[in-house]
Formats: sequence, C-alpha cells, structure tokens
Amino acid sequence: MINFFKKKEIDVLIVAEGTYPYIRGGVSTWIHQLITGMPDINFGIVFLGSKKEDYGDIVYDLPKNLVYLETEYLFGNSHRFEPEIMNGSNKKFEDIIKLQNWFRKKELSPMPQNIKNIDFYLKHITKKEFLYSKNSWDIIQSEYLSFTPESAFIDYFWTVRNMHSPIWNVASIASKIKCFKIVHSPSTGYAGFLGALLGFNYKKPFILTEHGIYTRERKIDMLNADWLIDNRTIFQKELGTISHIKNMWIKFFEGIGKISYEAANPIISLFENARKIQIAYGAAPEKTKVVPNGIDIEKFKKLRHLRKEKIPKVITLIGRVVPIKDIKTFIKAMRIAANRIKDIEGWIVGPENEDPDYAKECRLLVETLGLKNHIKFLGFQRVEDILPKTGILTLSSISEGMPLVVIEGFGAGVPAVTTDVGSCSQLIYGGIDEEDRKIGSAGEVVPIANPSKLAQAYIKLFENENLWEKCQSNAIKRVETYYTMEVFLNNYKNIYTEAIQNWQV
Amino acid sequence: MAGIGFELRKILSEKRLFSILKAYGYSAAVSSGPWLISIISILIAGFIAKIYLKDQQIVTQFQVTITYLIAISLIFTSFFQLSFTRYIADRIFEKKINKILPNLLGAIGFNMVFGFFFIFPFALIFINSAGVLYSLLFTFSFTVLCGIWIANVVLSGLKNYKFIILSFFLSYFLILVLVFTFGKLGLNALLASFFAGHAMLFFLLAGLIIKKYPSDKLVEFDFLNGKMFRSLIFTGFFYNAAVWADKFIFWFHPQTSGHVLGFLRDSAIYDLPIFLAYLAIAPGMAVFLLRVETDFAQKYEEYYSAAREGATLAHIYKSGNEMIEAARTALIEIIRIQSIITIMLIIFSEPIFKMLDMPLLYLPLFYIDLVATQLQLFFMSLLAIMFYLDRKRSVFILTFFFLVLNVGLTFLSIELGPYFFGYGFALSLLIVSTAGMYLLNKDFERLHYETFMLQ
Repeated sequence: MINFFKKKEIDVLIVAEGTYPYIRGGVSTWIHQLITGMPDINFGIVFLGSKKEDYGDIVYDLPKNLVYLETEYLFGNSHRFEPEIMNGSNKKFEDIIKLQNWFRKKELSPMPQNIKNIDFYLKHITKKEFLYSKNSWDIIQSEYLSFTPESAFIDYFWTVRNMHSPIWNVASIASKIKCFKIVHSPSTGYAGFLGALLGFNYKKPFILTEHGIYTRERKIDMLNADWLIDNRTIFQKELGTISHIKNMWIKFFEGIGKISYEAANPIISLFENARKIQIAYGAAPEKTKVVPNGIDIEKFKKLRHLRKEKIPKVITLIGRVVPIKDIKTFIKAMRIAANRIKDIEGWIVGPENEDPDYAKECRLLVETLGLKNHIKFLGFQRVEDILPKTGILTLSSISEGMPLVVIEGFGAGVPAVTTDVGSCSQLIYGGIDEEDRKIGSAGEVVPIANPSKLAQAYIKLFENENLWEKCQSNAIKRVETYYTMEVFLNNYKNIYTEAIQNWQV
Repeated sequence: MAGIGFELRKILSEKRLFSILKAYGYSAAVSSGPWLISIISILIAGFIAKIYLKDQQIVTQFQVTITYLIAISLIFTSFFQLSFTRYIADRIFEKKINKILPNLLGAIGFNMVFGFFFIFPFALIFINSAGVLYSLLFTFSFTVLCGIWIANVVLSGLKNYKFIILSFFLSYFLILVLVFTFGKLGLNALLASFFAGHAMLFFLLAGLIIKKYPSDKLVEFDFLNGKMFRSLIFTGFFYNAAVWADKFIFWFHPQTSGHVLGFLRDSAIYDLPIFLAYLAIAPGMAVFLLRVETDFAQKYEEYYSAAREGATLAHIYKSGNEMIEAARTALIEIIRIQSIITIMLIIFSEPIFKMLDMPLLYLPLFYIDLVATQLQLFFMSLLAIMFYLDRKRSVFILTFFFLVLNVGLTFLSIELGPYFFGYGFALSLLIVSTAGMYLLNKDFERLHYETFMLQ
C-alpha cells in the first residue's frame, strides 16, 4: 500500500525492514537522521513488515523531504489465493534444484542469473506454483527425506512455506516500484533482497548499510528460539547440533544475504569488525567500507551543563526489553553491585511491548532478586532527560551493531560499560586509527553474559572518581573527533553523489 | 536491531489446521439412517395391512401414501441433510457443543414449518378425494417425518444405540398395535396409526438429543448465516432426487402407472420388485457401517492426526496407506458380501416368489433390481469415503450425474419396453460408481499432496 507520494523524484529509496517509521530503535533513528540531515535530497521509504497486526501507527514526525512512503507486509493474508491442483513443469523445477545447490555451496561461485530477474518469480516460477504444484511437493518431500527424515513433517512443511513465500511477495513489491535514483537498504534479509532486485532490474545503484550483521542476528534468534520444537530424542541429538529446521532458517538468511552482497556497492558497515564479518559472509572486500554513525553534538554538549557536581549513582540501560539485549544479565549484575553500593540505581529505558513475555520475566527477576528499590523500568524516554541523571551508561547485549546510545552518552559526558559486542570495544577503547587509541578508555568492556564482571566494572567506576572523570573526558574527546553528525552526513552525501555519478557513466 | 526475525515466532505458530478434519463424521447421515427407516416403514406397513385387512385397495392406498410421504419428505429435507450435517460436524470440531442443540432445534423447526406450509395446500388440492381428514393426516405425517430426517443428522454421533433402537422398536410396535386395533376403520385410521407412531419416535429422539447436548439456548438460526456449504445443499438434493427419480417416472409415466388416490399413482409392475430388492441390501448395509464408519473412520482419524501432530513423513505415508487399505477393504467386502447375496437370491428367487405367492412375471425385473440396489449401496459407500476426504466437488458432480442419468436412462428404458425396465436405474448407478471409483483412485494417488499442499 502506498501511504503517500508527493510527486517529486525520489533520489534515495530506503528499504526499511520492520523499522522506520513504525518501530523506534537504532536503525529507525539512523534513517530519520539521514533524511533530516540532508534536506536537499528527496527520500522514499518502503517499509517491509511481517504482518499488519504487528504494527501500530507511525511513530516519527515525517520529514518534509520524505516524498514517498509505501507500507508492505510479507506474511499477511493479502498475498493468498485459492488452492488448486497444479502439475507444474519439470523444466522449471530443474532450475529450482540448481538454485538450491548454489545456495548450499560453501565456496563462492558465480550467482545464477535467473534469481536476479523479477520475471523469474512473477512469470517463470510463480508463487502459485511454489505453493500448490505437484513438482514443488515432490521437492519438499525429497528434501525432507534426505535432510531431516526424523523431524515433524508438518513443522518442516510450514517452515519451507513460510520462509520462501515472502520471496515472491518481495518480487511483486519490486515489480511495482519504478522511479528512484538510488536504493539504499539498512540491512540484508528481505529488505536487502528487495534492494538487490530493484538494483538488478532497473539497473540502479544499490547501497547496503549493515548496522548489525543481519545473518548473524537471525542466527542468534534461531539458537534462542524455544518456539521451534526440537523433537529429536535424546539418542538422536548429538551435543551441540541444532535442529535442521533452525539450520534452514540460518542457511536461508545467509543465502539471501549473499544476493544482497552480490548486488550492493558499496557494502557499508559501522565499524571494522563488522566489515570483516561481512567479508567472511561473502562480501567482496573491495566493495566494503566503514562509515560510523554520528550524533548531533551540539545537542548533547548542552546536556553536560545540566549535570550535578556529584556523580549520580545511576546506571542506565537504554534499549528495547528483548532477549538480544540480555536485560536479565544486567539485572543480575545490579544485584551484585547493590550489595556493595547501597544507593545504586539501575534504570531500564526502553519499550517493553515487543516481547511482552520476556519483559514479564525481567520484572519477575527484579522481584525475585529483591531489587525493587534499585531497578526502575522507565519505558520509552527522551535520552536528553535521562543522560544528565546517569552515572554510567550500560549495555548487556549479546549482539549490537554500533549502539547510538553509547555515542550519545559520550556526547553528554557519560562513560559506558558494555559487553564486548559489535563496535563497543572500538567506541570505548578507540580503534578507528592510532590517534583514536591514544585518547584512552571511556569506560570498560566486559564479556557477554557475565553479571559479575559487569558489576565489578560498575563498582570500579563509581568507587574511583578520578577514573570516572578520566573516562568522561576521553569519551567527550572521542565523540567530538570521530562521531559527529557532520562527519556522518558528509560521508553519505559523498557516497550518494558517487553512486549517481558512477551510474551515469 | 528491530528486524522481521523477531516476528517469525508468530508466523510459525500460525500453522493452519487441516480444514479437512472438520469434515469428520458427517458421512453416516448420507443415507443409511433414513434409508433403513423408510424401507422398514414401507414394508412393515404394507405387510401389516395386508395381514389384517381384507380390502386390497385400501392396503395399496395406505402403502402408496406412505411411500409418497417418505419420498417427498426425504427430497424436501434433502437440501438440509448434508449441509446441516456438515454444519454440526464443524461445530463439534470447533468444540462449540453448545451451538448444536439450539441450531438443531432451529433446523428441525425450520424444516417442519416450511414442510407444513409446503405440503398442506398440496394435500388439500391434489389428494382431496380422500377427504379433509386424510389431507390433514397426510400433512402432519409429512411434517413429523421432516423433523425425524433432520434429527437423524446427529443420531449416529450420539452413541446411545440402545435407546435409539428401543425408540424405533416402541414406535413401530405402537403402529402395529394401532393398526391391529383400529385398522378396520379404514385408510384414515391406518394413516393416523402411522402418524402416531412416528410422532412418538420424533419426541423420543428429540428428548434424547435435548438431554445429550446441553446448551443455554433453545433455538437459534446460526446455521442460516452462510455457514453451510452451498455445494452440499445441492449434493443432498441431487442424491435424494436421483434415488427416487426412476420411481417417480414409473409412477407417472402413462405406460407404466396406475391411479391410486387423488394425485397419487403407483406402478404395479415396478414397485414390488424394487422394494424387495432394497430389502436384500441389509447385509451389505451392515458391512458398510462396520467397515466404513468404523474401520475406515478410525484409519482416517489416525492419518490426519499423524499429519497434524508432528509425525515424520514416513509415519504419515504409513498411516495414509493404512487408510487407503481400509477404504479398499471396505469397498471390496461390500461387493463380495452383496454379490453372494445377489447370486443366492437369483438362484432361489423362483421358490421364494412362489412361497410369497407373487407372480413370476416379476423375476427379470427383480434380478436387475438386485444388481441396481447393490450398486446403490456401493455408490453410497464411495460417497461416504469421499465425504470423509472432503471431496465436496467430486461428490457434487457424481450426484448431479446420478440424477441426470437416472432420469434420462429411465425414460429410455420405458421407451425400449418392459424387458428393459430397471436397466435405466441400474446403468446410471453403474456409470456413476465407475466414475466414483476413478475419482477416488485419483484422490488416493494424490492423497499426501492434496492434504498438505492444497491449503
């Protein structure tokens, strides 16, 4: 559904998967900054959601230069039709087998041409054929029998269907979009796939920025997914192996990740480690590039004056209350820290509606550990209100890209203690270049899922005011040198200009 | 990062259930129930009347009246029988048991009220020669029969076989006693006995249903809100109309019929052999109930729970094969048992006819009727299996052709002369049974594919 189209040429079309403008979060903020930061460029957004009922209203004030907004759902009922008996053609399904073999290959090999073509999905092998044809059934059966003959067939069957159906939905969405100059996706996944199809078919430049590594995040989702019943018996299960169905999802996301990497140029990451992972997942090294996020430094500078003389004994975790943020480890660390520092407080600032069960578990844990006086769930808050009252900004995530809140915290003069994920160590210890490292540490980085290390770091910073102040000044210096909005926007302006120039040549 | 990945949980848990399973248990009502009741009524009534009454004309009038009552009420309620059975099966599947009673009473009321207003003018105008009292009794009997046919929808699910059989026994015993006591008073007394017996049966069954299905509501018309399948409405009609088509043609064709009472006519040559032939399928009927409704139904249930509840594909294949095997066994056994009976009856038909004091002239027609009724039983079994598999389209087509063929071929058989009487009915059943087997075979070949992919 097209929400609006202001009849102006779209310079940059952003494909947002489950983020802007319906869900708040790191990526959404990033998109919002990009658009508001370049008022002379016209942006369009294609929002890809899972199902209509999973989303509420638009939560951002849409900028004037957002000239186009389209909202699409990948798993909804809108793409369904009446089942009918179909035979399908053997010739076509040979193509599918070839594709599957390509996806399964470990080493890099040239991508089959047909998957780049929208017509392949809309005309050659239609969604109807995928869903209902006898050929498709034969493939599903034989794949099941050769890979996971011991698992529940019904689960396997629906996994295959649910996983692949969106491919056709994406193709049909792609076929309707036409006028834009550049397509830019902030992730691989289905959004990256849409970007790739648009790029291939309309011969337009496709820019990929990965905040986290989508493929890896899905892998974490899958490994944590208790909703996929593993019905292997204890005898069938070798220690450390994961069920085929989980593996299928992981392989699938790796597969469509490859397509995104093939199509995109440049492939941008936020920090050096992420760039290396992209290369490991199949991105051509010469196409990769690091562009860190930036913040509006003036806004955060002001916050420093609002700080009280005394360091507030408040540790703030800004982030959605979801498993990937590992809020529970933070809560446990707070228990240890509170034993030492009686007036310590932990604030959890972020929406709890995304995974209500998990949020409930967290609140229960707070109660069980007797932390009711130490931990507050504040829901969504303006960071400007929170940061001046914060002594340490923390993240206990098991996965992160480049967490904007850490940079914002630095801007406002708040040191950070985080787990060793994403770009955190680069942010806290410095890592962009030699100069950056010389600045020194702006907090501390600890291993993931380790409450006691986390607590020790809190205690160390609170009990040693000199150290805290040193970290604060390092943080401010680092953010003002490397992570400002000017640097960030300039980088992207150049990338857009370059993309258009290269394309016109 | 807030991606779609987080939403995958909701998507897999949405696993759509097999709609097919909803169909479970709506085959029994296809015909076995009403069929048995009607044949028994017609024959018992006839024999009783024959034994206690001297007046052959009144006996014929009574027997023909009952035949018409049953035929017209079955066809009249046929629009509801299947589709409403499915409606009930769906509610049972959804575990909305409290919907059953109010809607059943709603449907019974609906059919009885419309049945009354449909038949009353007909009885007054077309059968007026027998008097107003006759017309009233005709109307009441018809109305009560409509109620019984609809109530029959849930009988097989009640499992209170003892009570049901006792109800039938008591009701027919009442008819017997009344005919014996008041039969001499004439046609109206006979018809009143018939009505009284069936009214008692209706109330006994209704009482059982009310007791068995608790609900806080008494009457509801939820079933009229588009929840019944249109194809089943017509399938029910086609089937019932087809089963009676050849009889009506013989009753009204000038060459084969005679006047009985008012608008009612019969066919002296056609009726007796065919109703006798229907008696002969009783053993096959028992096999049908045992093999289809018990063995096959159980395998069917096993197959779909294997598919639905996370069995491996190997196990699903195995259950599927067992189900197909059960269907095959049922069909083969029905043919086998019924063929033995048919052959025996053909061999011994002469002495039997002599014993019953019936003209041997009927024999050729009786032979072909034996084949025809056997085929009808076979066809019924095919339909029942198809209902289990929820092949609404196939059943719709088959019953439609059954009607068309029976009408066409019966007319043709009359044109061809007495030696061909009965062949129209038999041939139409042979054709649709063969076609049915072909379709069922196709369905079984594609069983797993259709179960999984076509949803």
